[in-house]
Amino acid sequence: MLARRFGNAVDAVGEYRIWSHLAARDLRVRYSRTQLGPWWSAVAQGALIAGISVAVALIAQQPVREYLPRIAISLLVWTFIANVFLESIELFTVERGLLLNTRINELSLLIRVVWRQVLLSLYNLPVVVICVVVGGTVPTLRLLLLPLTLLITGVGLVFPSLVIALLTLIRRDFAQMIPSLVQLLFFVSPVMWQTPSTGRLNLLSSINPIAWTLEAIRELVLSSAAQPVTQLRWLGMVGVMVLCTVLISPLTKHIRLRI
Amino acid sequence: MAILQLQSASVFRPTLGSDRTNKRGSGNAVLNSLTLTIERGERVGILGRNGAGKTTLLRLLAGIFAPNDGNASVDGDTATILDSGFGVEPWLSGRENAVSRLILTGVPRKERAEILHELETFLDLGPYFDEPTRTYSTGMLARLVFGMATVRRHAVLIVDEGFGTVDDQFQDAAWLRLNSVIGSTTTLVMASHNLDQLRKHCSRGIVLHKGRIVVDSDIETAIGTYVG
Repeated sequence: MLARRFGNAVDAVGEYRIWSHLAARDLRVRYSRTQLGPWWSAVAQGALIAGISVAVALIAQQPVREYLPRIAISLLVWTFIANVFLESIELFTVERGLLLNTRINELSLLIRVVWRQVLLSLYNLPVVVICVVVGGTVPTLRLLLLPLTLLITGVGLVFPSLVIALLTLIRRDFAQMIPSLVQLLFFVSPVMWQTPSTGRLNLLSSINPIAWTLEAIRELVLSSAAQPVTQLRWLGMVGVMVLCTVLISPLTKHIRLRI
Repeated sequence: MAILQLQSASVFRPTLGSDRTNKRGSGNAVLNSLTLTIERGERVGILGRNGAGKTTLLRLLAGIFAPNDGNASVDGDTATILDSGFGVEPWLSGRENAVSRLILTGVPRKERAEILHELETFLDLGPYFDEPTRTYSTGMLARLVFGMATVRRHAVLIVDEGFGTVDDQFQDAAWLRLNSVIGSTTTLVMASHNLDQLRKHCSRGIVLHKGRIVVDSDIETAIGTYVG
């Protein structure tokens, strides 16, 4: 039984020609007839980081420059995660044509969403490099780990993406709630704030998988004294997510009848 | 040798107001315990009134739907022409849409150029083939979707109904091409209200009524029962 479930996931990965093509096509369509194409994503990301930096400087009276690399990486990872969540809403209904006319594996549609965000994030990487340099940190080869960390995060994201797609297929009410939930996750995750060593925020971070992801990636890319335990916790979580994806993937068996 | 096989296969659709697709109970049976074997080389016509379950049966045979109950097995290289207009992206050109369709249907890269050339010649869209499809007229779009749907030859072909609105000038070419595609396939399953087409292409006929097979015989007997 478990072997068959793994087989289903392996089949989806094996459809790489289809999901990679569809993801690249999505970006072409999304940015067609624009002057900058997908680089608009980098411009938007840069503007967001600049705006937030100014706001933090004015409101919190903080020396923003030293926080800039941290904020840039946090926002890159957060945008990646949030977009995967948001684009999974009603995914199976949106992809009705494909599902009713081809034998495409349902998981391939989720991998396509993740892969599309991986591709888009690659355009944002130069912004992170600029922020690291402006922040006074010497860019190291560790920055090259960023695409890999996004890829690993993306592998784990297939599970929540599947849950969101299934929930919003069964009840459209969930589609109304999830954007607010994602916004809430932004505030309870250490994207704009740093996890203190004690207190409620520390407790919140210790039970928040998004916090684990952010901390693991930031440490890996920026800190010279990265603690393996943070990375192991993150990788362990991704492993559990993959297992969860495999275990619940049979739930997609009859979704074509619902759409 | 059986190429498509159903054993007591049932398909339930969630009823309005209920989102449950249970094996039994609240689900509304679209296909009810069908047992059917289609041998390699057979040419089968499916008849039935609207809502009889023809399209669902075709999707089941194509392996797109999985049965809620029973078994369905597909053994062979199967192509479907169900909703020929699916997947046309208005912001992409006709050529880009065609390439996309070829990738989605698993055509190897080395074969694409030749198929594309043949498609371009058949469509006769001129420079419009490289323009975004949102600039196409309804007739041009119909040409494109029909051409894309009939671009490949397979061992098993599953066809649903007509192929949209094409202009009169293109109608004959479209029928010729469809007939050629159907003619070159070994095994055919075709659902249609067009009795002449069914007579022309099929030797076996199946009449569906409310999700059940009421007649499975030669095509003339099946048409006679359906019309009568």
